[in-house]
Amino acid sequence: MYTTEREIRQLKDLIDDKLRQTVLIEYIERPVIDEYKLFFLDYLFKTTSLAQRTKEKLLVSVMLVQIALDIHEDIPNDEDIEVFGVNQQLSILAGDYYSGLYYYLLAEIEEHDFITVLASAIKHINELKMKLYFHKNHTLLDNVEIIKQIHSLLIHYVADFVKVTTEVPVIEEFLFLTLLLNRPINPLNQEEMQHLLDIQIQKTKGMIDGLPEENNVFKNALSHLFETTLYQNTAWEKD
Amino acid sequence: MKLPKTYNYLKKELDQIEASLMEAIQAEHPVLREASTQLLQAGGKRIRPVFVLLSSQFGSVNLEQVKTVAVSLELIHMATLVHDDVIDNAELRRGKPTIKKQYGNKVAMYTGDYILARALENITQLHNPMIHKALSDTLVEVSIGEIEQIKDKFNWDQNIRTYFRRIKRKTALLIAISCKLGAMTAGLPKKEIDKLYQYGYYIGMSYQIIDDILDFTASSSQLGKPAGNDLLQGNVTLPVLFAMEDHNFQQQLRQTFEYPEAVTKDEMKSLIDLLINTDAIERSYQISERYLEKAFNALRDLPHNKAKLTLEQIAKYIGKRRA
Repeated sequence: MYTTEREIRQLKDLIDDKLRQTVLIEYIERPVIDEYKLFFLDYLFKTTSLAQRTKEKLLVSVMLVQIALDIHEDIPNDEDIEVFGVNQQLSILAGDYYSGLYYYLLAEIEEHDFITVLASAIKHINELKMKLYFHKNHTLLDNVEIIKQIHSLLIHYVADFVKVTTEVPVIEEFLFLTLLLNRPINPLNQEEMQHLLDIQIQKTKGMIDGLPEENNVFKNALSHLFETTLYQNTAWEKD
Repeated sequence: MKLPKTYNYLKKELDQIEASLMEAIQAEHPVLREASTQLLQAGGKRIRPVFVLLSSQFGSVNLEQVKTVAVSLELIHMATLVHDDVIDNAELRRGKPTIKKQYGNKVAMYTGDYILARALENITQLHNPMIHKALSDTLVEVSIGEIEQIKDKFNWDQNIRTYFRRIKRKTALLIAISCKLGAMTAGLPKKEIDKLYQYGYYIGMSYQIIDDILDFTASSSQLGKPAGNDLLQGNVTLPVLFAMEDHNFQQQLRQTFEYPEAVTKDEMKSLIDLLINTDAIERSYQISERYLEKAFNALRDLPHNKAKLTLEQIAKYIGKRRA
């Protein structure tokens, strides 16, 4: 049940298709599609007996939510930007548009329970974002834990929806590892970042190795992804 | 739109909706809870809940469903306001500091997203697929309308059709969907649902046109913002489009806005005076009147009851709005 490079590409095309809104394309940067989240979502939906078309729509909806949240997360406070211009204004509206679009896609296929799942996840994520923003009484460790949760919470809610539980902790750690590899965490310096990354690599590897044997397909896929993520640029198995 | 005395008989239901709204925004994080509560308590016209309630009264009223729809629509509206204030860099809303002003853009973004999520979580308590199809379609359209409004700012070459399409998405659709969903919860036949939807749509169009007129004719204290503020923000509204048919006005408009960020109060005042001296205001009122007539016509075949009378009174009230 490996997700191949071709499958990831196809899924990205499906999402890209939904992201295209003429005015937005002109003004805002092309949203980033997190391929790791795509991989895990594809894995989670593959465990279900849902029709392929339904799986695709559910997956695209989750990614639209993720993109909407990411776009809104990048809206700066006034003191952090010289001019709050048309690009920022349209980014806000782009996030709102993608939020409307996920609801539209799911309403179209009458997946009302999944709308509730995603809305609840968004609500929870924004509670956590507020907690992180007003972090005065938190330790660094607390904050790292919140960041980790925010980063994987959507996947967590989807996993609950498809009733996959065993794999969730390792997915959460793996996603946090990919986050650390790609983005510095404030206010950590380079040395502290490297230390955190080293711990995270060990932790993630240990969790992959600890996956039960009956889950061999996922375990092998994840080991492969782990190796390629750390040591190569190509994360996905070639066709 | 103030709640005229004729709505008083809805007070009990509206109070219940208000209580449900308050309950819906009880976030765990204290600042999130406080920001949402402040926004709610700042008041507002609650016109969407009123239209949901009134439309439901043409069939068998299911108050729980009506409340669910009304609360979600008002939450969607609130979420839009929070994000709009970031977009417009607004400091005050209904005389109170905006969430953006008080806590910054980040918190405003989180609050807007939280409130929208609550709206959708709430509405999915209803299992009627038609409700979700209609509402989600409207949400997407409204977003596109807002995007187009940004795109069309300071575009003096746009036409009246662009304006109508924009205000349809910006204002009319949410009022129309309020009527439609209210009617759906009451199990009305499609023909009546469509009539109520049309009523909401025409009322919304008329309301927005008058709002756009008042931007020039009302005083700063009546508006709670400087007169001509929409134009200053680059919004090309119906009175402006009509006034642009006057060569003098068009020339001065283009000249004034050559550097939009440098427009002075005196320049704006002189531009507004020039606009008022054209026939733009009168013609805009005429268009608004035509939409109101259509709204009345949409109601014509609906059964006579108190709700219909109130909807007619709302239409009359909107038509009478003057500076």
